Amino acid sequence: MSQKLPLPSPERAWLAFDTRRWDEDCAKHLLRRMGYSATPAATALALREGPELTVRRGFSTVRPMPMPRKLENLTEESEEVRTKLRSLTPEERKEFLKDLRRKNEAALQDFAVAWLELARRPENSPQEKFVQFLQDIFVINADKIKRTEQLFEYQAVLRQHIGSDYPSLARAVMKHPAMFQFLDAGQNTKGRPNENFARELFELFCLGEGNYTEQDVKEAARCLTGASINNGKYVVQARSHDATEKTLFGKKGNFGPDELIDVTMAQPAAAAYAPQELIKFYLAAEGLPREYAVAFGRIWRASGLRLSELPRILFCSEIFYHPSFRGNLIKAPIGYYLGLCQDLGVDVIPYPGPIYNALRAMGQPFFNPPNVRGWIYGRNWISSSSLAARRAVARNLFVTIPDEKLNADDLRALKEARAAGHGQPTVTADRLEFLAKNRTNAEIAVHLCNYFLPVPVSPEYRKVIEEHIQPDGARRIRSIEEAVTAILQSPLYQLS
Amino acid sequence: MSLRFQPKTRREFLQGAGSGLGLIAFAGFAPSFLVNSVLAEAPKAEKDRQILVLVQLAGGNDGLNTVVHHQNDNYYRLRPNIGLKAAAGLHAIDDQLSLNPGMGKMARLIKDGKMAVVQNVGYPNPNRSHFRSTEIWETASDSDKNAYNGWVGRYFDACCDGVGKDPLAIHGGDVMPQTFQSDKPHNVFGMGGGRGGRGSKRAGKSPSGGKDETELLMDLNEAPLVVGDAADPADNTHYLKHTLMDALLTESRVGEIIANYKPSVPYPGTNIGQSLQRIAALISAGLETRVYYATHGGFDTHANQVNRHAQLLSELSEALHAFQSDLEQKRLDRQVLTMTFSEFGRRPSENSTAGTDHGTSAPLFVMHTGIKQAVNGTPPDLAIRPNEDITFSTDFRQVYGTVLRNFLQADPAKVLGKTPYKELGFI
Repeated sequence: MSQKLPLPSPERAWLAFDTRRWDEDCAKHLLRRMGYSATPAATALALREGPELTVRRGFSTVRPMPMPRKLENLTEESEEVRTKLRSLTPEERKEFLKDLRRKNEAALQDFAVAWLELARRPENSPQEKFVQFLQDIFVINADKIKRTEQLFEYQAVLRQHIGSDYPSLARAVMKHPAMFQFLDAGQNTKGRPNENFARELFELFCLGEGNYTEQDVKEAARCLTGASINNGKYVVQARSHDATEKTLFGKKGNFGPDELIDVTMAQPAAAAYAPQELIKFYLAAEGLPREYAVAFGRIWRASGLRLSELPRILFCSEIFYHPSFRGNLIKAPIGYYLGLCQDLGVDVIPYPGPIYNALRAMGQPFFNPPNVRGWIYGRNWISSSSLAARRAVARNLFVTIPDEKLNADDLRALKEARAAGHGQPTVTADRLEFLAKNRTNAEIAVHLCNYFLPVPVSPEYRKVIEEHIQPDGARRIRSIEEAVTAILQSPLYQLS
Repeated sequence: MSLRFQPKTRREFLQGAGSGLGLIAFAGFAPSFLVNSVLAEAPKAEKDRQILVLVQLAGGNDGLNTVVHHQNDNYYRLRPNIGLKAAAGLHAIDDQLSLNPGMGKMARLIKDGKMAVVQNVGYPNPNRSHFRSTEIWETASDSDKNAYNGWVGRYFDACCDGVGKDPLAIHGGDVMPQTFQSDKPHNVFGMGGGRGGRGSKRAGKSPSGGKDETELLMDLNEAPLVVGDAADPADNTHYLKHTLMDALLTESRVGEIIANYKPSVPYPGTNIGQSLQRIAALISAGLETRVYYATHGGFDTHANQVNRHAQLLSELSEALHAFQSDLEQKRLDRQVLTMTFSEFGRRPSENSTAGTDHGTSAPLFVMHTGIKQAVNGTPPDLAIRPNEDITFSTDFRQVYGTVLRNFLQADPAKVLGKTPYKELGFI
C-alpha cells in the first residue's frame, strides 16, 4: 500500500458501513474475521446478503453445545463420588482420586475435540469464536480447575449469555463455581479480605487499568466477603459478610456482590472496556486509540450493553472495512487450525492426541491460558517455535494415518466420526487431482493464491508456486500438495 | 551507511555471512537481524559473552535424597525405608553432607571447585501444584501473584535490546518455557519436535522431485508480495516474514552444527546427555545465544523411588560432567554457567509406597569453572513432625540475583523488582 488512507474519526468510525461499497473483498474480510475462513460458497452468499444479514445469521440464536460423551459419563460418576469417598480407606481413596484425575484429563481432551468440531462447522463458527472472545476476558484455566465438567458448564454460561447483557454475564461469572475457585473468592471473609476477584473484576473483566483506585479494590473486596458455594450455588454467609457501609467510586452504600456489579458497570469506563477488547480480538491486536472505544461504548450503552450488539456494531461499521485492517491480523492458533480445516474442507481430527498437542506447541493449549490475564494476541503468537508448530500442523493435514496404526480408542473415535459423517480429517489425493484437472500450472498458481491468501500477491510470488508444480502424473499431484503446504505455512496465510 | 554488497539470494547471503561480511542486506527483503543491526549499528557481540544454561529437573526433585544429611538422625527418622545410608555408596562432600550414590561425578566436580550446592532453596507460601510452582520459578514471582513474563524474558527485555544474528535463547522441545516469555519479541528457538533443529537440513529433494519444503518456503517468503513491494516494517506481514526467515535459517544452521559436532569427550546416550551435547555444539560454534534451556524429566517419584531416583541423578551427574569436560577442553568453560532447578522438593516423610509426595524447598546446583564457595545457604531444619514440610532458608530469587549480577553482569532490580534479594557467594 503506497498511500495510507486515514482512519475515520472516532465519531464516524462506528457508523454503518456504506453498502454501496460492499464487494467480494469486503465479504471475505467479514467472513474471515467473524469466523475462520471465506469459502467460495459462503462468500457468494454474503455478497448477496450484505453485512447486516450476514452478521445476524452468525449470531441469530444461541445454539448450545451438546455434552461430550466422556464428560457425560464423568458427571454421572461425580454425583456418587462424595458418598463413595467416605467409605474408602486412605489407600483406596488415593487410587480413586488418581483415577478420577485421569478421567478428567481424558474428558478435557474429549471436550477439546468436540468443541473444535462444533466450531469448525461454518454455521457455528461466528458464535464459537465469540465464545472464545468471552473466554479470553473472563479467563479461567484447566490447570487450576481440574473438574472438566465445571469448565464445560462455565463455557456454556458464557455462550448462553450471548443472548443477554454484559452485567448479567459478569454476575453469572462471579457466581460460577469455576471462577469462584479460580480467583479464590471463597477465601474472602469479614476482617480477612482476599482481593483477588475484586481486583480482576475491575482490571480484566469490566473497567481496565487506570479506571479504579486501590481503595476501590479494597472496598469491592468487602462487598464480596462471606461468599461461598453451597451445593453449587453462590451464597453470602451473613456471619462472615461485612455488612457495614462501603464507598465505591465515591458512592456510599451497603453494597453486596450484586450491587457491586451494578455500580461497576455504571462506570463510564465499563462501556468502553469490552469494546476495546473486542477491537483487539477482531480488528487490530494493538487496539485503537481510546476515543474509538469510548465512541463505541456510547452506542453500546444506548443498546443496553447487550452482548450480541458487540459484533453487530463492529462488523457493520465503517472502520471495520478500512484498508488498514485487511489481511493484517495474526490468526490465533485455534483460528489457524480451524481455518485450515474449513479451507481444505476437512473435519477436525476426531481423536485428541495430535491436535491437543499441536495447540499446546502453537501456544494456545485448549482452555488453558497461562493465567488470569489470558493470552496476549497478535505478535506474541509468533516465535520460531510456534511457527515450526504451525508448519507441522499444515504438513500433517496431508498425511493420512492408516487405520491399523491407530490405537483402539483412537480408531473407535475415528469410526464413530465416520459414521456421523465427519471422519475425514486429512486431505486426500483425489481433491488435489480435481484441482489439477484441466488447469495449467499457471492457472493452478493463480487459483491457489486467490483461494487461500487474504490479499492479492505479486506475479513473482505466483511464479514460485507455478515453477514448483511438476509436469507429469503422480509427481504433479505430489508437487501441488507441496505447493499448497508451502502456502499454508507461509506468512500470508497466518493473517486474516 | 552505504550497503555496497547486496546479495540477491539467500545463498549469496549465507556465503557472505560465512566469509565474515558484516552489514549486508537483501535487495528485496532481509532477515530482521540484518535490518536491525543496520539500523542500530549494533556492535558485534563480544566473543567472551556469558552463557547461562538452565537444566530443569521436572516433576519435583527429592532434595533430601539428593543432598543427604548423613549425620542427621531426623533424616533417618523421617525416612526409615528410603533414607540413604553411607553403606549405600553416598559421596561425602563435607562432614555433614553427601550426594546420592548416583552422583559420583558431581561430587568430583564439587571437590574440584567447579560446582556449588545451594541448600534449601524455595519461596514463601509454597505451592504444591507442578504447574503453578513451575510457573512461580519461571516467572520469579511471589506465590500469590500472577506474572506473565519469565525472569529470563525480563532480562532480555531490559538488557539485550541489540538484535544479533542468532537466537537469544534456545530450548529443547516444542513449547517455549515461560522463563523466556517477554514483552518485546526476541528470537527464541526450539530444537525439537517437527522437523525443526534435529539436523533436518541436508539440502535434499522433495518427494515430487522439486525443492524441499524449506527451500520452497524460503523462496515463497522472499518473493515480493505485491508489485513493487514497499513493505511497511510496521505491518504484521513484514514481522512474520522476518521471523520465518530467521527460523528457517536458524533451523538449517543449528541442524548442520549439531550434525557435524565433534565433542572432545564422549557424552552419555541419555536424553539429558544428548541435550547437553547439542548445547555444547552450539556454544562451540560461537552462536550469540545467551541462554539455553534443557529439561530432565521424571522426578515425580511418588512410589518405589530409591533406584529410579538414583538413576535419574546419575544421568544428570554423568551428563553434566561430560558437558563441563567438553567445554574445558574447548576452553569455553569460563563463559558458561549451568544451573539446575526443580519446581519443588518433596515431603521429608516418606509415604507408604516407598516414595515421596510433593513438598517445598530443595537444594540446587550451579556448575561453573571457578566456583568461590562449594556449599551455600543453610540446611533445612528437619526437627519436624511426621508429614510436616520443611521451610526454605534461601529464596530462589537470591540465586537468580546472584547469577544476574555476578555472572550476567545485569542489574537484578531490572528483572526481579525493587525489593533486593540478598545475593550468595558461589560466584
